[in-house]
Amino acid sequence: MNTPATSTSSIRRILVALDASASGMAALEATAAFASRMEAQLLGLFVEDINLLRLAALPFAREVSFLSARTRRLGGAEMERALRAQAALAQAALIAAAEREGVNCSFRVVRGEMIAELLAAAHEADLVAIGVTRPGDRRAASTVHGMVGTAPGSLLLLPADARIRPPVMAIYDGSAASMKALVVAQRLAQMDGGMLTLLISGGAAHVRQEVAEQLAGSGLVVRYHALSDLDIPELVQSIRKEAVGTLVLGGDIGLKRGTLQHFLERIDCAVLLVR
Amino acid sequence: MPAMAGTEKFMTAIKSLDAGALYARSDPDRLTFDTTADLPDLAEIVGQPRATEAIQFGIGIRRDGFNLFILGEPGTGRHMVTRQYLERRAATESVPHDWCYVNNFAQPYKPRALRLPAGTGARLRDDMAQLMEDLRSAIPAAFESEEYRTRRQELEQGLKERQEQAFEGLRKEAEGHGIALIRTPSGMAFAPTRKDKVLSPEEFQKLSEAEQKRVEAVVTTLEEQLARIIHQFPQWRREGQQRIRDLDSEVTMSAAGHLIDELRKKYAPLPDVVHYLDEVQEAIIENSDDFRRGEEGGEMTLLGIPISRSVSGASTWRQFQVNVLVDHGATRGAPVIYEDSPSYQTLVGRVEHLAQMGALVTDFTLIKPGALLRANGGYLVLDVRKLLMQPYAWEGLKRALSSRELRIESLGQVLSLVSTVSLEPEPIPLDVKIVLVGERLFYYLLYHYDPDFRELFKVAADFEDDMTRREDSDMLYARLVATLARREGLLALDRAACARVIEQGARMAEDAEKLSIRLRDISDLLREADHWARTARRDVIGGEDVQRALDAKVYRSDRVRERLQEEIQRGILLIDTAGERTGQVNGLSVVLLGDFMFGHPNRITARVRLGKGEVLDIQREIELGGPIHSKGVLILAGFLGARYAAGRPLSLSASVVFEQTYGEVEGDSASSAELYALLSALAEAPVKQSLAVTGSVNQHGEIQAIGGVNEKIEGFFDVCRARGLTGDQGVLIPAANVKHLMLRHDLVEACAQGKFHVYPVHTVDEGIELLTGIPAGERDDQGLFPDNTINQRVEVKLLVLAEQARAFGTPLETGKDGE
Repeated sequence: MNTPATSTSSIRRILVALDASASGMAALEATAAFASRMEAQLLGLFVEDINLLRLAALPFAREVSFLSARTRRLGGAEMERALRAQAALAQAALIAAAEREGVNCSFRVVRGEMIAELLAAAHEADLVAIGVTRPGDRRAASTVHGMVGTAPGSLLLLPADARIRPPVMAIYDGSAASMKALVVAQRLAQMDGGMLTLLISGGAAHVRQEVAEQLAGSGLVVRYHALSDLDIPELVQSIRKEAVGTLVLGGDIGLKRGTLQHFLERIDCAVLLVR
Repeated sequence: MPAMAGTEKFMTAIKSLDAGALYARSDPDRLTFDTTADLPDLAEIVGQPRATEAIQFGIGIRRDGFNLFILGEPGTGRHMVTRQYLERRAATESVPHDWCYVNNFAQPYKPRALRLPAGTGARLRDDMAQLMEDLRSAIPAAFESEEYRTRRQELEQGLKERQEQAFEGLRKEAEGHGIALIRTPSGMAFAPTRKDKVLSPEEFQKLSEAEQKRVEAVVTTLEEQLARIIHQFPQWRREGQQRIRDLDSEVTMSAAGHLIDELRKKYAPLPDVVHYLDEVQEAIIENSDDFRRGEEGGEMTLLGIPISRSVSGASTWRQFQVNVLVDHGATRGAPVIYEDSPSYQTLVGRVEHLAQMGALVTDFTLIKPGALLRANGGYLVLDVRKLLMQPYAWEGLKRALSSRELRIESLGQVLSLVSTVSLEPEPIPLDVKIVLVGERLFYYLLYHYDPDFRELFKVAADFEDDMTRREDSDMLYARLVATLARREGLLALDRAACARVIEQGARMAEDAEKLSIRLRDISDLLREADHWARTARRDVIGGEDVQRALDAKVYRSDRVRERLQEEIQRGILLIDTAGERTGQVNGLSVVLLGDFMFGHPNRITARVRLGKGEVLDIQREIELGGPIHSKGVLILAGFLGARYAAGRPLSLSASVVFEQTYGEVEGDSASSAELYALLSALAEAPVKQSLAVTGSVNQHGEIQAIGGVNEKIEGFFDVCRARGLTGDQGVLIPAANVKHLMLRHDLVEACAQGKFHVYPVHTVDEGIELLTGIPAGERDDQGLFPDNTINQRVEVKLLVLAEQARAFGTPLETGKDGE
């Protein structure tokens, strides 16, 4: 079996971006479970968004409550307190999740721009896990978009309630990144029951040959679906049809009729973006 | 001696009875069969024309309150006849409806009753079970379909996108003003930005005042819009959830609709069932989540203990069950139900409970029918004694009959003893004929004390204990014997055996002109005779087998009788059977031990002296005399006063006693013997101890009939026979009792040989003449009794006593008023 340098066994440190939201906590739980399976360390990072502090310092700063739709004034000290409280909650959640899953963890609070701080911290990790945004949270959405666009390493994108679970699907288009993705998917499928669904783009004989060589002797039951090209609506339909639990794909995947970010917004399973 | 001459004269006047009068024999030669196997079964019971007509009337009339009370003594065939008539009638009537309880989906504590054609209840139950089985697989499959998943995803995505679009629109509008929409820790806020970064306070201060005001005004406007958007979220969520519910309903219907439609078509002629199926459909849609869970949606358990999913009603699967309370699928005709244990619950029905986690829970599937429901549309037979012994059973029955509907409630609910919520099943209309079977006492007690009884049980069928014995009765009775023997699987009886059974029938009726129709006693006799015949390896029951059965039964029961006889023979109980004694008469009494009755003699003595006109009943004085016995003794004083002292005070004090009795004496059958003893004492005329006496007496001196005459005669006969029959011995019985004589064969034989005598007596005078051998005497034209007659002696004695009383100044009979 051809084993590229990047595989799941190389995931030793997972950076998880923390906030105190429900989706953030769900993403933390899913990441901790994945870290346990990978025997990796969790690096918790809470970014105190500098933009929030600036907002709070403005003379007319007000906040509209998401629950009651009431408007109330914001102050700098109040915002600081709220961020500290969020950080404390995030830390407690991290420790609890790590203990539950039996993994080591560390926690750090930084202040600055969200993407910049995450990118800075991403250099210390093999994988960055991010909870996918909630409706209306444009800045959080932009964080995901920004990370997908610029993160140097692999990303784990976790929509609400998503976990790394079977069935595993991989997309292979012959690129180096997609080969890495195939290797990761192969490993996950082996851990999760031996089933792998593989979407192969291009259909050239050498592509199939590469896949066959990679999966030879893996013991997996592989279902192949050939796609003429990676059309986003077609991909989304395949993923929903197969009720995919985890999608593994290369970070440089070439999609039609939309960007990678657009594609990711439309699916609700866990996505492992391998670079 | 004149006395002897008088006796001689009398003896020719009062003859002892011929042997033929002592026993009404059944002649085997008049029976026209070899064995009872030749005789056909009786189609109708014998001797009960009144009762059978009442039963036919009672079961024929279908009006409120015309329920039946079958009254009569046990063993007279009440149950058998009732069953026979009811089953015959019921077979011609239509089969009643089935009754089911189904869940009331709107109010689960009030289960609905379904009335269905016979046999349909079970079919509906099976169909509903099959429907549930089908839905358990069809509904999860429908929800797992790609179409459902896609449509649901679309709906969820639609809600998400609606919210996003609202925010996006606001965000774009804000961006147009150089303002960003920012997520804060607990809400959302707007802030002026430059190059995607929020302005710092310093940067903001650098803006012109107008610009600052413009920014603030825009932010305020945007915040108002944001608030309006957020206000709409709950409504959008509800709409989204409603759309998802609608989708779920649609998918559920796609899986369940055609299955339920098939049932609707099948039960189209039954609107109630169709209505129920409509409700079922709605409930299935409402509970589609439980069906989607499939097997997991079944009974939930905790530590292996099933726990109900629903607190207020039935659990998911159970609520669609059909509880068939009455299934008449296999019934032919109207039902005839016999409830042997008529408690409140077995009559009315009950609601059972299951223990779950320390609490008792129930639902409509735990409603159990009672006998009233099972008999609805037909007949219910109950034993009144058992019914009255069960707490509240009688009240429950009356309530159901009065209201003509059946409410299955626990006693706790009926009596308002418990206030916890249980079930209130819909009442079921009741159309049932109740047949109560019981002894006469219960009928008259209920009639007297319970005003409802006469309204609810208007037909009484009174069963006779015996039938009149006529020329043709023997053959009819033989057929009854044949029927009973055949029904019991007994050997056939030959003519002699049958004749002996007929004779015993008369003996059981205590009347030579009657035959007992207590079928239980006759059946018992036949069973025992069958036993002895089989023991003797006979194929047919013979007369000797019947006699052996009778003798063996007496032997098994007569330990006490033997002891009494033995005590008499040993002289411990003083009974003379020879010689003469003044003021002493052999009376006769009967002892009843269970179903065994025997007679034996008692010495009755009387003493007289000067007194104030009273006859002292020593038995009563020591409170060992019953009221009827006391009445008999008081009559004696009336007789004496009227006959011998009409014109002067009765200055007599007499005492009468049953010697050597240590228990209560009841009945007036010894009153004639007591009078004879008194007359003997007053006349100082000795009484022959070879004779014994039974019979009651009235104030005119007439001897009246008594009960147990056969046993009494046999009791004295046994004493005499043990001492040796002299030919003088005999018994005086009331002439009215002659027709009751069915005496033992050995006694009849002794009478035929002149060794024992039975004298029928009409009056006291006849009796005293027999006992003393002295004429009683009748008043002549001057109103005087002839000399040396009993009556003259008595009158003289009383006159002497009256004179003595006057001489001594003793308070007279009427002197009390003057005291």
